[in-house]
Amino acid sequence: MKKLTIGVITYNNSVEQLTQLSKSLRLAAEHLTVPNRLVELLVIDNGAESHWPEPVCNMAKLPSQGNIGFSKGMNCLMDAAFRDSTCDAFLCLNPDGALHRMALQAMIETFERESQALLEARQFPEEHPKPYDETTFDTPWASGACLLIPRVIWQRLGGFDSNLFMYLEDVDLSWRARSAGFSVKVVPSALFGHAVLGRKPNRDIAKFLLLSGRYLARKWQNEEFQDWAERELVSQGFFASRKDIPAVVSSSDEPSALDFGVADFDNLFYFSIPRWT
Amino acid sequence: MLTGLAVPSTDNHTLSVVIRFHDPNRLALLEEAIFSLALQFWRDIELVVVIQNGTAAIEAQIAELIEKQPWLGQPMYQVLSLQFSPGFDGRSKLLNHGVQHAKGRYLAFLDDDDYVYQHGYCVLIESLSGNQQVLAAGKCRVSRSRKSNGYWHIYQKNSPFEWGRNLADLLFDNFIPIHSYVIDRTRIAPEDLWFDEQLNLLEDYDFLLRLTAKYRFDFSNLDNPVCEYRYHETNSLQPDLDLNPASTPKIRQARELIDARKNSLTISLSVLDLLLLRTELQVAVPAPIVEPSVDKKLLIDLLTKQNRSLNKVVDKIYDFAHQHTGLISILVFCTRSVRKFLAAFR
Repeated sequence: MKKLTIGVITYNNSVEQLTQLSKSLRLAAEHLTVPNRLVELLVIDNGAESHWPEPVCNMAKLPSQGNIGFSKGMNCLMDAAFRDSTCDAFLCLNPDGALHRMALQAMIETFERESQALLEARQFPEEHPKPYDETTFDTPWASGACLLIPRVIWQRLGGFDSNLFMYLEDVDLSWRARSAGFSVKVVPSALFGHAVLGRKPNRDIAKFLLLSGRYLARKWQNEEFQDWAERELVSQGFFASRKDIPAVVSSSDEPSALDFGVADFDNLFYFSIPRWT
Repeated sequence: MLTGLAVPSTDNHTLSVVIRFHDPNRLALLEEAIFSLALQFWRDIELVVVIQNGTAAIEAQIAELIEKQPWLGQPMYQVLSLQFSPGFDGRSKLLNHGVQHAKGRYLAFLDDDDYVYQHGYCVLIESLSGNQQVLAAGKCRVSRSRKSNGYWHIYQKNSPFEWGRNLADLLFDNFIPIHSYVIDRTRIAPEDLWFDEQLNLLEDYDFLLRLTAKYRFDFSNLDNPVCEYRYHETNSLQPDLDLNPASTPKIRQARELIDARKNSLTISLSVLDLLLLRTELQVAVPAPIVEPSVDKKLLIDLLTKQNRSLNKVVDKIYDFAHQHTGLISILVFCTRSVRKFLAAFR
């Protein structure tokens, strides 16, 4: 028997969001026909204690460590999940969405064929515009909103870069996976309902995105993007001047392990040539 | 005209979404449309699925699809069938049947292969709650996809309907696809809620023309994408093609019926006033020309009752704009026409 552990980090999510997510998880688990496969849910609260309306997928919780960010939170969940030797895959899942009833089936079926690949569900109704190959389903990077990470990739790469508090840790992981010879693929038949349009502008998000972009550029040695991110951090009023921006923390990844050729900084935060803008 | 329609109470906050379903081979597409409804931030939703030549088995399949979505509560739905002769396209009849059975105060329509973004209905209903308009419209994007390795691969998204901004544009041509608006039924006479069953194409535009001649619409959300029109190889109509009257005999015939409707409809004075003197023409006419009362009087005089057919009104609008603003309005008008022309061949 093999196990897929679904990891969810909550951050003050509404009861409605968690109700819909858990209902979708129950439906997706009920539609799973892959033999010898267990699914469990592992949760950590980065904000207030989360209240889940119904028991779903043998849910367990790790003790909260406060707001440790997305990367560290997911790394905690992955460390705990992969301690169980029967767990061969981990699914990062955002709490503010809902799986389609056939999504887990599609993700696991694909994983059993493509065990050396990061696998991304297709966000719905608005999927990410980054491209993917129509035959191989290869994509330059995978979003962490609904992302399957095989044990073999976790063992090799050790999860997300914990220097990234939130945002772009998925781009970094994808580029590191490709640098190490793994694939990154979209699973078009796995839908993850996730609202990405109609959001109100949020300055905190904009700031975190720029800070993460700056770190990513430094790590992947793109001075032009780093310079652009720093100018934006100042021009958007997050810092008075470039001198006031905190120094970039050094990455623990060996530069020799990174294939700088996979990094695409030419299309701003698309990190690829988008199919539409 | 549909008989037996009642005006819902204002305490009713249910949104009835009428979905017409023509082809049992499109159940997978229908499920995505329904999934998009289950994800809506507006939670009080009733689905009214009307099937062309449905059977008990198809009805049961659709009911099962609805039940298997992650609704927050128990889903409210009706699955209905209408029988037609083979080859008959009953799209208007399906809509009318859905309207007759809908219980919600708010009404929306969704084709079986399209979908609505999560915030879509919430934005439109909240907009209606802040005004007295009968219909609120949002932006509709178009995605183009091809079947590739068994999956629909979206290769492009754009917004070919964004040329339309206001009432004057709507009288010129339709830029509001059927799933991009919500109607508040408490503000509309039941006898006005019907689709012309003679029309099996552009029936949605005919419906909007009749409503817009009588009621005011809320166009304030046209920059906010609320839904997606999916163009793929099984669509009956390309979203841009219907702008071209010469495309097919079927489209030509529908265009002729629309033109007849424009000539026979009388526009209400309150709508006329809005059309000519308020926000609608400010795009084309500089504010000083629009605002002074002398111009208002001039326009009301110009548009005497016998001249109030829709086609004549559209002509008058552009005549007026031409006389008063010269090149500016002509440029705006021409730019729109060129954009529409180019969109048809994009």
